[in-house]
Amino acid sequence: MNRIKTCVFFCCGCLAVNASPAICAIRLTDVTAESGVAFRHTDGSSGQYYIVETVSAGLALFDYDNDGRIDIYFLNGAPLKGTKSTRRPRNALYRNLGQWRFEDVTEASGLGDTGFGLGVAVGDYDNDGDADVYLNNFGPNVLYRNNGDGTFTDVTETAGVDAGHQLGAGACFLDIEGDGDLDLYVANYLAFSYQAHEISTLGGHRAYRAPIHHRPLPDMLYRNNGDGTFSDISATAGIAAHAGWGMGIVCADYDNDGDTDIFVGNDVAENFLFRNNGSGVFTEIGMMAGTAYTADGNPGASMGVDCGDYDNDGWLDFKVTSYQQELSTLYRNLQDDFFDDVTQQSGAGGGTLPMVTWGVGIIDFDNDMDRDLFIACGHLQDNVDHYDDVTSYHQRNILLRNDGRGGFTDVSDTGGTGLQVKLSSRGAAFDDLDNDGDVDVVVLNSREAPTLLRNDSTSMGNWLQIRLQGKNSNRDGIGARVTVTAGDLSLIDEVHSGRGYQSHYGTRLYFGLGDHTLVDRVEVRWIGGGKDIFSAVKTNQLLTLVEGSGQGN
Amino acid sequence: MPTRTDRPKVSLIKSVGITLALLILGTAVLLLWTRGAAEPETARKPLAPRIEPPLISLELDGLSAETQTGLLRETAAQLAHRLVMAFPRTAEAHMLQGNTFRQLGQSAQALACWQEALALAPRRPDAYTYMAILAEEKGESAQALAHWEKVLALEPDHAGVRDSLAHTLMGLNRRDAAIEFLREELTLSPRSARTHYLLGQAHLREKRFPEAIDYFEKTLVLDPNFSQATYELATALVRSGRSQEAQLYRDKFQKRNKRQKKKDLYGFTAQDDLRKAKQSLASLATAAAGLYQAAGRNLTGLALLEEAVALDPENLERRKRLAARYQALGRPQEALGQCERIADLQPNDATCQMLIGSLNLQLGRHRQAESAFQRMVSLAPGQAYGYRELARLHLTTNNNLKQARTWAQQAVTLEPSAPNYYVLGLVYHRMGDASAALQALQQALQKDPGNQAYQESYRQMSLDRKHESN
Repeated sequence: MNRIKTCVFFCCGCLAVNASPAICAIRLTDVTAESGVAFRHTDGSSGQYYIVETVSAGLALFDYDNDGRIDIYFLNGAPLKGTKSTRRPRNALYRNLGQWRFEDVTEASGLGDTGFGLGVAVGDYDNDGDADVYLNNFGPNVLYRNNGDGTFTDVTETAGVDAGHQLGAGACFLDIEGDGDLDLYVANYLAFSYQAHEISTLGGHRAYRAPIHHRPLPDMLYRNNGDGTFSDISATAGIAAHAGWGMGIVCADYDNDGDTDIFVGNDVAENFLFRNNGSGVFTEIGMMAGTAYTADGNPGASMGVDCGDYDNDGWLDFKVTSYQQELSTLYRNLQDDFFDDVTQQSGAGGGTLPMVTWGVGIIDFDNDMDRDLFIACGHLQDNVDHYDDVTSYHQRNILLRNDGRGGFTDVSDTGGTGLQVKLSSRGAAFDDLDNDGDVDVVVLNSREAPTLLRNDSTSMGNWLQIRLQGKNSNRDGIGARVTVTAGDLSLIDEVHSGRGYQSHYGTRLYFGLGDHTLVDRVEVRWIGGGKDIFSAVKTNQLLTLVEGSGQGN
Repeated sequence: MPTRTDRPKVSLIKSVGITLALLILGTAVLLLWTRGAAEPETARKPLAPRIEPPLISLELDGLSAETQTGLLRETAAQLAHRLVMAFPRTAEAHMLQGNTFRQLGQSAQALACWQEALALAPRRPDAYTYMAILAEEKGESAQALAHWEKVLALEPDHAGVRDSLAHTLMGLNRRDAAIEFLREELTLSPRSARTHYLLGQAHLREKRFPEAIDYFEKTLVLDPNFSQATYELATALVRSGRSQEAQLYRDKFQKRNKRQKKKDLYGFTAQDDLRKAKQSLASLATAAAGLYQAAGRNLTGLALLEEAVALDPENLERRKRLAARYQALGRPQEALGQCERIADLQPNDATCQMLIGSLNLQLGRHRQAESAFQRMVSLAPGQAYGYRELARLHLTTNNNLKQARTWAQQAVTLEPSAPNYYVLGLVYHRMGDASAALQALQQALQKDPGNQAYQESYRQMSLDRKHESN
């Protein structure tokens, strides 16, 4: 049953007949100032306009110390050639103390990497029960093993995953062949060199050069050897043959065949959709699947990508963000390896045309049983205000509310103080930071402080949060599919590691249940084929489901 | 009435007459060549020795591309402002200022200017078109729709307006209304690939796949290189369960797209930005020149046009326009200079060679004129015009009349028109073959009986013949 959305329309004066913007239930409040988060992003710029500067960075939301509270890890840029810096910037880990207070534990944790940070993925690659962190940098990448005591150790060299000092992008942990440990997909952006760099101008102002002027690179796939080391299998797995300007990626079982596939958003060129044949060998089918281009055959400048079942039909859809004068695209999964670009029909691109869009989440912010859209915006040309007032460098983020009938309405105007913030956002991540049952937002802003948005939505529905714990499969349950059934409502989700714009979030799964007070059935299909079913589950709780503890099928 | 003893004098008169005819013809072609850049009546008035401050004053030497671009943009803003100050009641001036603001990325000011232009001249579809495009860029589809509706009301028969309107309607999810407009458009432009494509797109979004396939296929018949139609046809085929056929179109699309990508590798450098700024200012200066000329301020107009050509030296249309201005203002030497520059840039332009020939002839440079006409004939051997001009030239110089006859005959063979017969007649006459001359003149008069020059020549030749037979 679909609960009717709480939308109030008001009129401007007694003579007005035009409906004003809908005032809806979702409210995101900017709570950055009182959070204790003092991080400030730098892109390492010095007026040389290296393209590297524009794409930093993502962030991660995860529980690094297993205390039940989601912590925040911000990636940072680093001084580029010509930048004078007295203090080397570093990534920052903030421990969640509860009550929206955070403590900088970077030093103590050892996670303060000073490389040029771009993308991040979190997963328990060694299956020891804690979250490890992989950083995709400009320069050598880094794998941090969680020591289980709140500290991390750089194990990159041992693991063999530095990925050759390239200009990276997103990264994902996934189990490509269902052997119970996490493999690693590393996206690469482009071949950058200081020697070949050239400054561009737009309207007489210095500007960043388009990525098309740099050679695209193939991504990399590492197989976990199960002994703390990885092997580069990019060529044999069918990945290395495809060079692209990789940006955000997400790994998901789009075809419901039980293995994990890979969606790579490419800047200025066709996106890749790698279909897993079940044994860790991939076939690129983006063109035939309809996800390579927009509906009219244009290659978007893809930035971030998320997946989720926005229309509750049991199949994962993809949402891709893009550049100015392009709508951020929603690909609806039509099954049979085919997607329909429904951006126009659904309104899922609402408000994005004059924006450059980056981070993205398909999230049910008001727990009303359907997933809304959050899109982080901000131009990459820092001089754009001087030559194009249709857009701006600092932009407001966008919130699109799902109407439950396959359509979206732009509710940014009434979405709370968090949506009045105008900065140049990049990565965005979504999790329940205060454990109150709704999903909050953290946004990394280029050259600025981040924004923490508390979900203060009114008229909230019931909810269920699920944390998976693999036994035979990987410990975090990454790639596992969960189906929640309550009456005639059926919702699906998967655990993903690495998603959105080069970020990580959602190790916990979130289900908005509306008026449902009891879940009839929770089914977990683990990577590797195992299945658990849990019946008569109470709502409004965080549930940890351990592999093998439910009824098998 | 001339007598036999007067013949040399008659020949001289004829020579002068032919030269004048050539000049008039050359000027006419020059004006035609500039495609509608015909001079207003006021421009033909004698030049007033009026000293005006230059409207564009730029010193770019030694500056970086970045600084030059900035200066050019500033200059464009200043010029647009001065235009509005000089012509406050002229809608075109406000339109130009609006377009300049738009190019400078100041859309709010652009909008105000276009609205001001509409206040002065409410029936300007171009103002509504610009406003519609701006609204589209901002994602304000409802506003764009209102503007397109205005354009349509003002220009109901203008091809393509309904396409734009339908595109906006589709953005508003009003696909059935879009289809109605597109069908109307098809009655105006039945061979428009874009209209067929948009119809395919609307039907595809409506999940009417057979109709979508039909329209996309028609699009590709009309324009086989319409890559978006290729892509969407594949989509419609997949949705209809015809995946194998779809694969063919997707492959075709992919190949084309790769080629396109390679092409896109060029551009977007500081030099490109500078070139764009120069071209924008040159366009504005050209339009401004038109306004000043129309107001009788020829020197200002000419100076602006000269500046425009200097800013964008490879724009041939503008150079042709400047050549026409020089010619109209009685400055053939400068007109010739422009034509020669055009010929350097476009050596295979036969019309340009013809003009160079005519202008050289006007300046008494017969050798250069002949060389240009020869070049014209080699570039366009199937066109009668060059042969006729060569024949005329030899008539003027009274040199190698045998060759002149061959050319005149060739002109008549290629195009048996009245002017060609006329020139052939003159050649025969000069060679003393009165019978052939009269025959040719008769042919000319048959084709253009009211032409006074032909009548007069015929009368003269008949008299001459009488004298001879007496």
